[in-house]
Amino acid sequence: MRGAGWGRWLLLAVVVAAVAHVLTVWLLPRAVMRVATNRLAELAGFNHAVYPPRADERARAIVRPSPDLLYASCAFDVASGPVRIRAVVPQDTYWSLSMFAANTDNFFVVNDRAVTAGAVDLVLAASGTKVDLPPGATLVEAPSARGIVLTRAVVAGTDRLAELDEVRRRFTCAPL
Amino acid sequence: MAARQRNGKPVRRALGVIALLLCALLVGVVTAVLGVRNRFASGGVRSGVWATNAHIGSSGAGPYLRAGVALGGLLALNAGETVYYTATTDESGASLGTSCEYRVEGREPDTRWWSITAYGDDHFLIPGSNGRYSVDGTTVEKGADGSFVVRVGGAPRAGNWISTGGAGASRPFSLTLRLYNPDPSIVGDLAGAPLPRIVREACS
Repeated sequence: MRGAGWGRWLLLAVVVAAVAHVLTVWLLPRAVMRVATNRLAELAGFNHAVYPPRADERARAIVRPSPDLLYASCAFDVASGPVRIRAVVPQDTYWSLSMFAANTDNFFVVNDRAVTAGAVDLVLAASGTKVDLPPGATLVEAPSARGIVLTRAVVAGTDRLAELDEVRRRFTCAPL
Repeated sequence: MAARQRNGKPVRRALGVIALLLCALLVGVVTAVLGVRNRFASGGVRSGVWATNAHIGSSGAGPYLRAGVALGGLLALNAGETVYYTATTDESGASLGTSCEYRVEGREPDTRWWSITAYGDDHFLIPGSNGRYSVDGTTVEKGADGSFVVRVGGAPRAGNWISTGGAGASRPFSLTLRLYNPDPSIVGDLAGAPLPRIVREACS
């Protein structure tokens, strides 16, 4: 009788271990992304651009930063309405604008070669939202209310740092 | 309930059950974290000592890879945009350590822009590197045929050199090779891409 009793508990233990395993794997990226998004939002608030200094050993907000890129970023929150994202594309260097959902998925990316107008004008909105698009703007549906927008520009040698920094600061992120 | 009355030690039994379930919880969480770490470091595809995964950054990423990328490469781009290869060992299979000096030798990859960057075991740039965190395709010194040799670790050098923080206790580190807008032949055959070799020279 005693053995049968423990057998039941052992079976429950196996179930608990399996559920804890699956939940951890599922929760981990969401928790890490949430921390990163909130850290960014602490700097300037949600839906506000941040222009961090070029990464060095003091850059500890996001793992594995590249010291060869200039980043601009924005923690977005489309829960209370669409967010307009605009950026100017620098000449003759790799540049991209990418968006990441709350589960870490890279749901949107555009690079300098794909942009012909020299600038991008995007409206990010929760899926199913009715949006009055400003002329020339493109609608992007966000798979989650919160996430991160990130621009990258290769700082090819330090001689262009000032120029690329100026272009980077024309990246804006604000409620529509 | 019947068992409790027969045993006459309900408190001990309850404590035993609680300990068992806590252990189960711990086992579940620890195996998850280990599985996730493994998946990022060695899962997916390898070309020599360099590991990557075609689904980094993509919504096709499985739950383990997604969790692994969150820990070791949050905000990574998808493979069409950027391929990220990471090496944690040299050609002999020994872990990269900050007390050793390495020779990274290869030929320019077929990509718009590339860089090799050293990271500490905390996934951040290594303190004490005096700005020498990386080499990249625009500033690397290379031969007419596109071949290059980059020294990693050891005493400071002029030219192609990446610091691993100088003196102090030996700690593991890793190298990340970024290929921006890689040629479709690389994206189509991540395991076949000709990538630099990492050869250990000397250790202090």
